[in-house]
Amino acid sequence: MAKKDFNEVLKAREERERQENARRAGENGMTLDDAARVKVLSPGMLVFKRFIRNKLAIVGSVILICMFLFSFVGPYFYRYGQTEVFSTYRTMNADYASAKERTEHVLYTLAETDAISSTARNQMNSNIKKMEDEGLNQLVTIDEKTGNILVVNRMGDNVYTLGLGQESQIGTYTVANIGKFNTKLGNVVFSSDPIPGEFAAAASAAYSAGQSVFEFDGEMYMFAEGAASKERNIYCTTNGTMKWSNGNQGDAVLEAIGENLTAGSFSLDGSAYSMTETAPGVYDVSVISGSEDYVVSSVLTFDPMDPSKQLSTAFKTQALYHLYTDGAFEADGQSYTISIDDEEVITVRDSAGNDIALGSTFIVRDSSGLDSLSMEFKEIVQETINEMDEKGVTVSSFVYPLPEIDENGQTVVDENGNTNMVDTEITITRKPLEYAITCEQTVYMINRFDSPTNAHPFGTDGDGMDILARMMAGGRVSLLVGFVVVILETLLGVIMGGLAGYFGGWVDNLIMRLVDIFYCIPSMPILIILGSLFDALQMTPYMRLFWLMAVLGFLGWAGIARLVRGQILSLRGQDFMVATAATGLPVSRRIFRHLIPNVMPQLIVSATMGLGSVILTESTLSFLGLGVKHPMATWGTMINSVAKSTESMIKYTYIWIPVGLLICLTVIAFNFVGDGLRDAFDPKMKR
Amino acid sequence: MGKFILKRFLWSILILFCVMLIVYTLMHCLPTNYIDTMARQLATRPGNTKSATEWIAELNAQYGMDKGIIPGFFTWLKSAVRGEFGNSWRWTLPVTQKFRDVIWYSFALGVATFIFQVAIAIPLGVLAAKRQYGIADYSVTVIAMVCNSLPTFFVASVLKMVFSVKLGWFDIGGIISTRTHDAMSPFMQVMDMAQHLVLPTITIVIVSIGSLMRYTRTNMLEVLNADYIRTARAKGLPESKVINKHAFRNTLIPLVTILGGSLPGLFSGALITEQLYSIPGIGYTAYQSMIVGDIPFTMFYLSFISILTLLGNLISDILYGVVDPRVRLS
Repeated sequence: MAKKDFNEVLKAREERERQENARRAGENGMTLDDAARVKVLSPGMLVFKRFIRNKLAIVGSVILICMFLFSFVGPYFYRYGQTEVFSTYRTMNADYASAKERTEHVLYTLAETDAISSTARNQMNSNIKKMEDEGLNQLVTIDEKTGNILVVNRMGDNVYTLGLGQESQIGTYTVANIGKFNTKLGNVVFSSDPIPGEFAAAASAAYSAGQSVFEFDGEMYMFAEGAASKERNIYCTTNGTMKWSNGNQGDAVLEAIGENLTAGSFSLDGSAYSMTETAPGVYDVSVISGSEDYVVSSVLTFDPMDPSKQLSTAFKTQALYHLYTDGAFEADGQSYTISIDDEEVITVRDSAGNDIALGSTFIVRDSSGLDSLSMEFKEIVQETINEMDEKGVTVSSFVYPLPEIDENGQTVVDENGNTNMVDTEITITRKPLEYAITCEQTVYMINRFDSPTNAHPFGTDGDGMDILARMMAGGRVSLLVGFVVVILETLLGVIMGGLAGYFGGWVDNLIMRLVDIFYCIPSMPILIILGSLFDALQMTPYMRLFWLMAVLGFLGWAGIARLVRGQILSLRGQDFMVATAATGLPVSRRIFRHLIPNVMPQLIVSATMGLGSVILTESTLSFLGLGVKHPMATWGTMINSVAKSTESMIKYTYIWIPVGLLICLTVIAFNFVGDGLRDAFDPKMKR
Repeated sequence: MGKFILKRFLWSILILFCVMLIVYTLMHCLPTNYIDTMARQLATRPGNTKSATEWIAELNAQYGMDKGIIPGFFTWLKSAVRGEFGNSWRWTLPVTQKFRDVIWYSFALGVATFIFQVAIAIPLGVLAAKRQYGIADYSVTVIAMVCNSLPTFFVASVLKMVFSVKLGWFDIGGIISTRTHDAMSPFMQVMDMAQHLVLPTITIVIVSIGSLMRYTRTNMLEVLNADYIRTARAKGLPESKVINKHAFRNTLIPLVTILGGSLPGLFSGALITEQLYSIPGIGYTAYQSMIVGDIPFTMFYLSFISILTLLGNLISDILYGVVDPRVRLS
C-alpha cells in the first residue's frame, strides 16, 4: 500500500465538502451558516478596495497617471522635440547698413616697438584733437609708462604719425645770482647792485608762502639752495644769458626759457624744449625732434573697388604712410601708388594703373559691420547724405536693386541661375552718431517668448523652444530625479534601519546617533553650496544631475531608517519572529523575508510622500539656478528662466504659471496617493 | 529631571560636534582653486580693504584650511568657541557684526509667522477633529495636504503677481520703501517694514501651516476617543466644556512640545523666502554668501543652524517631560 499523503487526503475531502455544500445551496438557497456566503479577500485586494474608496486618493492617482502619460508617452505623440529651436523669416523694416563720418583715429603699426606703451597709443586721439584745435604740426608728450619722449607728427589732412623723440642741445642758459636771502631775518644781501623797491619783502612773502618762484617788477626770480640752511640764493631767471650752440633760435624761445626754467620744460610752436641744470645757475637747453615713426594713425578708410576683396592691414598702413610723401608703396608683395587729386579724392592704383581702392573719412558698412557693400552703393549713400546735409533733413530715401529673398530666407534665382534683383526703397535716417540705412527685408528671427498660438499651445521660451515639449521633457527629468532619489534613500534607510532594529545593542546605538546627526545637518544650505561649487567647476548638466541625485539621496535616508527601526523593534518581539528563530532560519532570511515585508506598507507610504518632497526640493534648487541646468529642462529651470526678474515674471505669465501648476499638481497628487495608501494599509490609524 | 536634562544636553553637544565635523569636512574638501577664485572675485568688489591673499591667509589661520582635516577642525573649533568667525568676504564686515545687523529682520519674520501659524492652524485642527468626517474635516485635510505640496517659489511668485503687480498693495521686494523711508517718522518706518514683511509672512504661513494643522487634528482625535472624554460626556457636561476644558487641554501636551521645539527656529530665518523677497535677514545674507563661496559666513551660518536645530530638539524633549508627568524620564 502506497504511503498516504495526508495533505492530499485533506484537500480532497475539503473539495468534496465544498461541492456538497454548493449542491445543497443550489437546492435550498443560501443558508445562514454557509461558508460560501462570506467572500474572503486577499490582503492585497483588501488594501486595494479601501484605497479606491478614498476619493482623494483616486484624484491623486488619476493626476499621477496623467502626469506619467504626459511626460513619458506625450513626447512620442507631440510633434516638437525639447531642444528644437523655432525661427521664422519675417519681412520687416530692418537695418541694412550704417554710414558714418569717421572721427576716431585708427592706429596702424608701422614697426613693432616696446618703447611706446599702449596707454600712449590710446592717447593718440586726444593728442590729435589738441593739435587740430591749436593748429600744431608737431606735439611732444611723455609716455607715462615707459618715460620715453614721444612725438606726434601731422603728415597731412587726417594722417598723423607717432614716433620716438630725440633730444638735441641748442645752447646753454646762465642766470645771474642776485644775492642771498636770509630765511630767519627775511632780508636780502645783494651781490651786486641792489634792486630798488621792496624786493626783500616780496622775497620773504614768496618764501613764507612756500613758492620757489616769484615775480617782482616784471622779472622772474627763483630760490636755490644756499650755503647755510637759513640761506637761499636768489637767481633772476628771465634776465639770463644764452649761449647758442648752433644758431640763434629767436627771442621768443629765450623768453620762454626764462619763464619756464624751474618747470624744466616747455613747448613752443609744437616743438618741445627741456632745461637741465648742470651747475648752479647754468642750464643745458635741448630741443626735441621726432626720429623714427612707429605708428601711423588716420580717420581715413579705404573702400575697395571690388567689395569681395578685403584690404589687408599692411596695405592700409603703407598707403596712409605714403599718402603725403612720395605716393608709392609696396604691400603684400605688390607695388601701388596713392594720390590725392584737386577734389581731395584719394585713389590707390596698382602698378597697371587700375583703381584698387578709394580713401575717404566716410564709412558705409553692412548691418553686421562688414565691408561687403559695393562701391556704387556707397557712392549713392554718400551722395544722398550730402544732399540731406545741404537740405537739413534727417530722413531721405533712394531706390536701389537688392537681391530678392523669399520667405524661407533663400535668394531667388531665375532660370539662368542669376540672382533676381528687386528695386528696393532704402531709407537713410540720421541718428546722433551715424546714419541708419534701413529697408524692407526678410530676416531670420528666433521666436523668443512667443505667446500661445495653435502651433505652440503654451508659447515658446527665451531660446525659441516649444514650452509644451519642454514641459514634457521637464516632467520626465523631475519624476526621474524623484524616483532615483527615493529609491536611493529607501535602500540606505532600509539597510541602516534594518541593521539597527534587528541587532539592537551597540549597533542600534551607533546607527541611531548617526541618524540624529543626519537629522541635524542643514541640507538646504549644503545643497546651495554644492550648487555654487558645480557652477564654479562648470560641470556638465548631466554630471550635475547625477551628483544632485546622489547628494539628495545621501542626505535623506535618516527618516526612513528611523521608521524601519521602529517598525522592526515592534515586530521583533512578536510570535512569528520567535518562530523563525526557533526553526533556525538564517539571519538574512529572517530580516529580508519576514521583517522587511512587514515594514513594506510604511515604506511604500513614506516613499510616495518622499517623491513629492524630492520633486519640491529639486524644483526649488533648479529655480534658484543651482540644480539641473539648461539646456536640460526641468520644471524648476523653466520657471527660473522667466521668474528671475520681476519684469519678465510680469510679462511671461503664460510660461511660469502653467509650469508651476504642473509642479503643484504632481506633488499634491503624490501626497494624496500617499495619504490614501496609509489609510488603506492601516485603517486603524485612520482618524 | 536634572540628570535627564544634563544627559540630553551632553548628547546634544556630542551630536553638534559630529555635525560640525561633517560640515567642516565638506568645506575642507572644496577644491582650493574654487576658494581662491571666489576670494579673488570678491576681493575686487568695491569697499574691500584686504586682498585675496590676505583673506586666504586669514582663513588658513582661523579655519585651518591649510592643515589636515582633523587638526584643521580643532583649529577652527578653537576660534569658533571663542566666537571668532573672522571677516565675511561677501560683506566685508566681521561675520558676527553682520549677523547682529541682520538677525532681527529674520526674528521679526519668524515671530510673525509663528503667531499666525498657531492662530490659524490650531483652531482649524481642533475644528476638523470635532467634526470628524464632516465637510470641515475634509476641507481642512485637503487644505493641509495642498499647502504641504506647494513650492515656496511658486507661492511667492503668485503672491507677488497678485498683490504687488496687479493690486499694487505691496512692494515686490526689500524691507523698506527705498524712496520714502528716510523721510518717515520712526513709527512710520517700523510700519513700513511691517508692511514689507506681510507677503513673506503669508508665503511662509501657507507653505508650513499644513503639518501643524494635521498634527493638531490627529492629537485632538486621539484625546476625543479617550475614556475620560466619554466619562465627561456621560456626566452630562456641556459639549463646549468637554471640548475646551477636557479635550483641548490634553491636546496641548504634544502641541506645546512641538511648538517649544520650534522656538529656536524663530532665529533661523527663511533661506528661500527671504531670498525671494530680498528681505535682508539671516537667510538672505547666508544665501548671498553661500552662492559666492564666502567661507567664513557660510561656516558661521551652518554652525548657527545646527545649534538651533539641536536646541529645538533639546527643548522639545525637556518640555515633553515637563508638561506630561506620566512620561518616565530615563
